[in-house]
Order: sequence, then structure tokens, then C-alpha cells
Amino acid sequence: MLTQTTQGSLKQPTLQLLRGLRTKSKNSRVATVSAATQRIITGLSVLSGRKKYPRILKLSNEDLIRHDTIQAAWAQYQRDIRTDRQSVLDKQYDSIINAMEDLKITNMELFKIANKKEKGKRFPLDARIPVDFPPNKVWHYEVKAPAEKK
Amino acid sequence: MLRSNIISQCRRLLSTGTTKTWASKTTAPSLKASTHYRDALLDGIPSTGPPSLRSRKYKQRYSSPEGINEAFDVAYDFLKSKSEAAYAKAAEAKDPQEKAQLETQAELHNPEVNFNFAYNEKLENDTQYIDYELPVYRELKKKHWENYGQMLTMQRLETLAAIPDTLPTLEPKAEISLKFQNHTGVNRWVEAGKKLSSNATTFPPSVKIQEFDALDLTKGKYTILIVNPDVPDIENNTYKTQIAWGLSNLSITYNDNFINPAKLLKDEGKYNEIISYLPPVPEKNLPAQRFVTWVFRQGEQSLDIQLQKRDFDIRQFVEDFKLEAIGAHIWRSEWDLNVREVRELYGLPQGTVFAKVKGTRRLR
Repeated sequence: MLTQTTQGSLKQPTLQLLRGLRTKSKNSRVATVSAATQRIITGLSVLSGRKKYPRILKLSNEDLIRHDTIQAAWAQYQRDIRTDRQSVLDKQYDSIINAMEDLKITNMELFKIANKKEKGKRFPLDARIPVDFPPNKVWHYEVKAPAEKK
Repeated sequence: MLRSNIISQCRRLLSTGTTKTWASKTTAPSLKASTHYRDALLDGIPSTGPPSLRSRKYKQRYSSPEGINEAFDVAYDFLKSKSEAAYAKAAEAKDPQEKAQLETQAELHNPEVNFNFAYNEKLENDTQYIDYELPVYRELKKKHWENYGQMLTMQRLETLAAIPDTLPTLEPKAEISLKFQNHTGVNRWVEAGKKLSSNATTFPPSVKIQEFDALDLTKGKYTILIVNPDVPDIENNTYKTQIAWGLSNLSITYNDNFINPAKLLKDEGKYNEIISYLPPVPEKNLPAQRFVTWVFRQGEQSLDIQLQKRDFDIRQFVEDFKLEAIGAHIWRSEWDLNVREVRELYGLPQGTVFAKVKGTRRLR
């Protein structure tokens, strides 16, 4: 460990031996952690490393293969969901590109407006989601606001 | 729920055999687990304990994880439906590569196949358990080999400088295993790079060539060359390469691929011995000599050359006959007390005793 004074000087740094060096200040005899924490730390340090981890499950050969089969099925199931979702997204992306290409050919001005960068502008969360057609049931007449509590 | 569980439990206890069958299209015995384990594997561990455990104490003490039986039944049906779809596709496939790939896909998650592969000897080619004619077992073995054996062999070939001292590089495609199957050697597979006693290497080694790719093995032939790049060349103060053994026109199948004396005797006249076997007889006080076994696909051509001289340029030979290196193996030999006997047996002259060089640096 190097002494503070030699830092930044061109002199050969003097080495101070670590043995016998005080690691805590004289007046702070109390532990820096609470007593309860200290108890846990002591308890854990007494235990061997192996006992700190839960025991490894010991499966028989048959059960290990059964376990692997379940894992494989689950992975396959998740993969199927992922590929389905991705294919839908791909189709949607392609149709956006196609629509934009059409717009580019038919009306360049509209295309430019559609692709104008609006920095910081976000789609408002409470706005109704734009759809291609109006709903079949335009207004829900029977819905009433819940009675307020008195 | 509880009742259905009890019913299924009762059915499990009462049944004499499992009702589960995979969507396999062939009746190869290796697609079924052996009867001793099959019911426990497919229907759950019986109350008597797992058959794979030997000790009665551990059998009684064993308990399966909770819910594994129910989860397995669902998983099995799901994977079986996928397998059926893959087999249906494979039936329509024209390209043999694609067909093999689909058949692999159809059987890859069959628990019986996985059980057979995991707990049986993988190098002995016992078609009762592991049949390499089936693409799924080739795929499983390839994965298994790539995880350890391939890396180990390549590491040994490169650190011992067999690459590039013999051939410039290797793209491993087949697993090459080697064994000295005779009365002098221990009947054990040789780990690549191991130093062997000259007594063990007195008679030629047996080489196993395990192909993984979907190939037409009835047409393709194979060549094996064993070269020693560490023969002292005193005139030029260097080392030279000599050929220790050469075989060509070897034909193998996926299962019958162990080139041992029995197979060579059976195929007498069909293969060609390029040069007879010269066992390692290293000189005293020289560093360990490397014996590199190279295996090549020679295609449909026939290679009927016979060499008279041992001095050998392997790069030229490979170029001349358009050989495709698919795998290699290496062992090392050092002078020991058995060398004299081996020399006498083969009628070789007495060896040279070189001056002892202290230190580990190689002579240059």
C-alpha cells in the first residue's frame, strides 16, 4: 500500500507494510453493520459453500429424459408462438411498405406529408384508435355512468 | 381433477405395458427403448422405483418431481403431433438431404431415442440400441462429437503441429477413432496425442470412420494414410516424412465402419494396401515421433497405387489423387525397451543412438 504523500511526486514511492496496519479507526469500535446483519454474516460464513445452495435435484435416468422431453416441448411451443407473431408482423410491415410505394406513385405531396418527421409528437393515449371502418354499433346507449358514492 | 389423477394412477398400476407409441415410420429396434425401462420412461416411475437404479435402498428412497407425469403426457402428445407432421413432409420430399433432415426432426425429441442414445455405448455400433443408418442417431452423435471429441482432436492436431506439418488444414467431417486391437495392446480407444508404447503399436491399428452426412456410401470409397513427419534426415540435418501404412479403396457403411483385421480379412481383394505397415521404432534420445492418421474420401475413383519407398510427400499425394481429407487422428511414440523386439520381429536393422540433448528444446 502506498502512502498518500508520495502520489504525484517523482520520488521513488515508499512502501508501507500491510501487516500490523490498523484497518479500523481507534474511536469507532462499533461494527459498521447492524447486529442482526452481523449475525447473518457470521452464520453464513460458518456454513460451507455447498450448504448455501439448494441441493441439486437428483433425477433418475428415466426422469431426466422425461424432463428433457418436457423442456423440448415447451421450447417448441414458445417457438411456434414466436414464429406466428413474427410472420404477422412481417406481413403488416410489407403492407405498410406497399401502401407507401403506391402513395409515392399516385401523389408525391401526400407521401411527403405522410412521412414528415414530427419530433416529440406522440400518439395521444386517450384518443380513439383509428380504424378503417366505423363500428357496427356506433353508440352504446344503455351504458350509464356508475352512481357516485355518497 | 383429483379423481382423474387417481384414475390415471390406477391405470398406471394396473397396465401391463405402455400404450404410448411414437409416430415412427420404420420398425427399427433402436427406435424403441428396451422393455426393462420402456414403461417407466413413458408412463412414469412405478411404485417399485426407477429400473435404472440398481440398489434397492435408493429405489425405495427415490421420488419423482411433482407433476412430471402430467407435464410429460402433454409434452409427449404435443411433440408426437409435430413428429407426424414432419414425417408427412418427409414422405413428399425428393432431395435425400432434405428427407434425412426431416426424418431427424421427426425423431429428435422422441424420448425413447434420446434414452437409447444417452445410456448406451456410442462407439460400438450396436444396432439394437444405436443405429447410425437412421439420420437421427447420426445427428445426435454429431452433436455429441462436436461438443468434445472433435475439439479435442483438433486441439491435439494443432498443438502438436500435425497441422501444418503434414497437411495444411482440416475441416473435420467424420469422427475418426483409433484402437490397437491385438494381443499386445490394451483394447481401448486411443485419445488423440497420447504417447503409446512401441509394444502396443507392434501391429497395425484399427480405425473407425463414422460418417454423419447423408451420403451414398455404396459408391464412395475411403483412403487411410498414416504418416510420420519426424524421421531424422541426417544428411540434411533435418526431419523428413515417411509413410507408415496406407490403405485405399475401403468401403464402409454407417454401422459397419470399423476397419479392423476382421473387416480387412472379409474384404480381401476389395481394398488396396498402398504400403505395408511399418511399426513405430523410434531412435534413442530423439524427441517423441508423431504418427498422424489421415482419412480421406476418394470419391468413386479407384486408387490402385502401390508404393515401394517409405519417403513420402503427403501434400503431393493428396493433390495428385484429389483426396478430400475428412478426419485425422494422432498418436506419439518414443524409444522404449520394447523397440529392439519390434525391430527383430520386422527384420529391421539396429537403430541409431543419438547424443543425449539436455533440456526440452527440440533439435533444429
